[in-house]
Amino acid sequence: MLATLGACGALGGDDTSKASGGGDGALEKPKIKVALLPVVDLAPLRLAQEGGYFKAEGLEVEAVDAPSGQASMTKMIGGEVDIAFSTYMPFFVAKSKGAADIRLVADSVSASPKSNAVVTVPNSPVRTINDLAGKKIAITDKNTASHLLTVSVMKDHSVDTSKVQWVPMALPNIVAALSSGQVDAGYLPEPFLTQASKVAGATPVVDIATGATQDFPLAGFGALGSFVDKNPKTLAAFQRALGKAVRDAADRSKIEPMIVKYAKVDAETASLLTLPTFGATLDARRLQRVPDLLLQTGVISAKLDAAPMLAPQAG
Amino acid sequence: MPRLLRALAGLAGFFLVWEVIVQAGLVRKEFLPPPTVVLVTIFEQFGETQFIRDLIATFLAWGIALLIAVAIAVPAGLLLGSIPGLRTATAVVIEFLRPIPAVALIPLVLLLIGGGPEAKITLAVYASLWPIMFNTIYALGEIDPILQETAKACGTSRFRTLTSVALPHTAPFVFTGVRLSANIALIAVVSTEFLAGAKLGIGNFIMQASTGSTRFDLVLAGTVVVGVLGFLINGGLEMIGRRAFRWSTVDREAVS
Amino acid sequence: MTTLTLTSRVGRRVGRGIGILVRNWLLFFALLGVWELATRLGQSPFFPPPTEILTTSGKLWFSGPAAQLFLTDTVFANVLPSLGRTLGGWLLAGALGVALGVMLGRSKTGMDYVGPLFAFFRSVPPPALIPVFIVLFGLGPGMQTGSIIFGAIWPVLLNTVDGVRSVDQMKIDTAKSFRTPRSHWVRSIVLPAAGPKIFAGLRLSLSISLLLMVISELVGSYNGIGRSLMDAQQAFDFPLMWSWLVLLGLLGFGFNAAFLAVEQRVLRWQPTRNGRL
Repeated sequence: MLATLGACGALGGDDTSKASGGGDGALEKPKIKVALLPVVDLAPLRLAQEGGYFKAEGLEVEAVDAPSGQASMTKMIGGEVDIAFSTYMPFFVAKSKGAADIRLVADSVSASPKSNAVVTVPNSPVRTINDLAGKKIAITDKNTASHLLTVSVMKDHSVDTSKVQWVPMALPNIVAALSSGQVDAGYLPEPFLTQASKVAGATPVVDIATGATQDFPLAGFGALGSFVDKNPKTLAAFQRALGKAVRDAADRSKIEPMIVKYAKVDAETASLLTLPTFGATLDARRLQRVPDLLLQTGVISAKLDAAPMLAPQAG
Repeated sequence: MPRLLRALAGLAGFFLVWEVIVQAGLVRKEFLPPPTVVLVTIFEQFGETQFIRDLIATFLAWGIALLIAVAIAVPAGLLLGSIPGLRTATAVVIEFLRPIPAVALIPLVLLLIGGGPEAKITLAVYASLWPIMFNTIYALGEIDPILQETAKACGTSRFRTLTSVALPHTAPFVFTGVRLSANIALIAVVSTEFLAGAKLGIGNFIMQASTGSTRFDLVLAGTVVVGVLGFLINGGLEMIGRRAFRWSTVDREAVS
Repeated sequence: MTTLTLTSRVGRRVGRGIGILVRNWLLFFALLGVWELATRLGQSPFFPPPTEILTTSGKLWFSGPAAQLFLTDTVFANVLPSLGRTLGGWLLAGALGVALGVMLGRSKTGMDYVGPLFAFFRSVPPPALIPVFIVLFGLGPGMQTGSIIFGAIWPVLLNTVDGVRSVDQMKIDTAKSFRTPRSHWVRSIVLPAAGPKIFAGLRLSLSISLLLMVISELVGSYNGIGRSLMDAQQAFDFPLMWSWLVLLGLLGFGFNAAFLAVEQRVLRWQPTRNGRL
């Protein structure tokens, strides 16, 4: 019997943690799993982990890596993680197709100027935004922000998006693909943006946070309705700790060490990064811009209301 | 020169060519590390707990999947194959389902079951069922009718016929099916690990090493190790098959 | 044999043949019916009923302009490139495999040197090759075709060696005593004798090519059947996803069936082949 239990651990399956009490207010699920991407957006979450904010709420957060927001959300729908970090688009697409009861639990970032951009490299045929038509553009996955915001910004400039070849790949690969010429341009958030300019001489073709997508709600945390309904206290604890970390993130000196450690960049690069606008509490009206964009770009066919998807926000 | 020496010579020759290609600068060192570097990395990795855990996770998932597949497919095959009318009919259906590359189901499975070991095992079981079932059914059709007639003439019960005549004669075929399935199961497990970004597994190790990091030696190390795993599995099963079924006169290679 | 007995014999044969055909396909359609019923009852968005998949497939591939044979652009942009890669890779692997296999098979000690090495290469699960090729060729058709060739060549090669070696001694001695020229020897004696094994290897190769095509596209590509499958899943468009899935199944089945038919014809003269599956 012990062997089977040991085997289960060896296989890598979840160690199902039945509520082993602990913490004030007895959280329903003191150990939760969150799927993450290796981007700076998650620095506040890392701060909440390292700074003990989660622990103070009686929560233990286990981070699971995902190569893209889509993959992250897939893990959540499949039950592998409880909360998923992703750009907002995949959440809304999934909800609109009735694939899952997705709720949004916390905000993460909005696009601040120069924090996300479509970049090109010196030996690429792409010079200006008009050159993007019909080229190979690297994104993380279809229907994520990397894809749709690029589409939106190209449309703003009346550039034809129909013949573009969207090449999905994990973010670390985009820089390599750019320098080796496998793609002509790529969408990059920080820290990859600054990294690419250092390593590959990448220059921005267009800043995503311009035009219709200025200050766009970019990414956040989602969970399944079943999780939200069954674990209100756990969720509130998560949101409180995260909110505190976001408030502390205003002090750059607190955030940069997290970026150095988790985004695997050196301290100098960390100081050069353009940070996105961190947020924690969701605002339905602002968030509505996302499904509206999806409707506009034809990704979804009917208007989707964001407000019912918001989980109760703590603090 | 005895065969073993020749084999080693071939191996050495291969490594030599590889080393020369890299050192001569025909391929960039970062892209194709020389065998010396890769071998060193393999040794290093065996000292890393993470790598060992990955290896064990893959091997366990493979083993469990194969056992489950055998447990389902052999009885099912025996059942379906011994009912004459059903035999050819199910063979046709299996011929339809078998060629579907199980890897195509990965996106769906990830959504339904998540990316953990359940997904790997489920997919591997699905992929491994068909060769075993098909071989079992085919084998039942190949039993020399004289043996069956003799058994019937001697008044053997149906059950006894099954166990004393059918089972021993189908065993070699079934084993060939199991060998094939062992291969397929490993492929399924590794593929799922790639796409799921699973927590553990050699496939995951290789995939992570190849994304963005400049440690191509890790990628090759992982590939070589999983190749050795496959090689050992293949060779081991082949040896078992030869030993256990030495008595069988049936041409086992008939069905591939 | 009176004509009466002959015709009745033939008649019975035909009757039995049709009976078998009907029975086989009856089960197949019965299962289709069960599938339809189960999905309609289950109402899961992940498993659309086969009729819905059929209509989606029709719209996806066959709603194009008549000038293109009613094929949509999707077919040209995704299906054909994937097919091209798969079949092209397979044919190249086959040609290389047979050529190398014949050389190695005829050499007395050749296989001693490379045998274990090749057995190792064959045991590497084909998906594990893909990251290697990604780093070598980046993401794209080069990587995919390269993976396919490297994965598919081994069954052909090893089976060819096996087949070439199994040419029986009497034939070898006869040819030697007649001083048969080498090219004639290889072409007319060795290859036909090794035929069954070579074909078995090619068939396995074909299914490996299909497998590698799918997974290499799932991992890194911007077009193709596998890519479209993934895209559909990520867009949560399940009827679409299943359409691509069914296409893959049909391709797998079709390739296999077509290949078997060719094999039957080419190897028809072999005495042991009658009555074999």
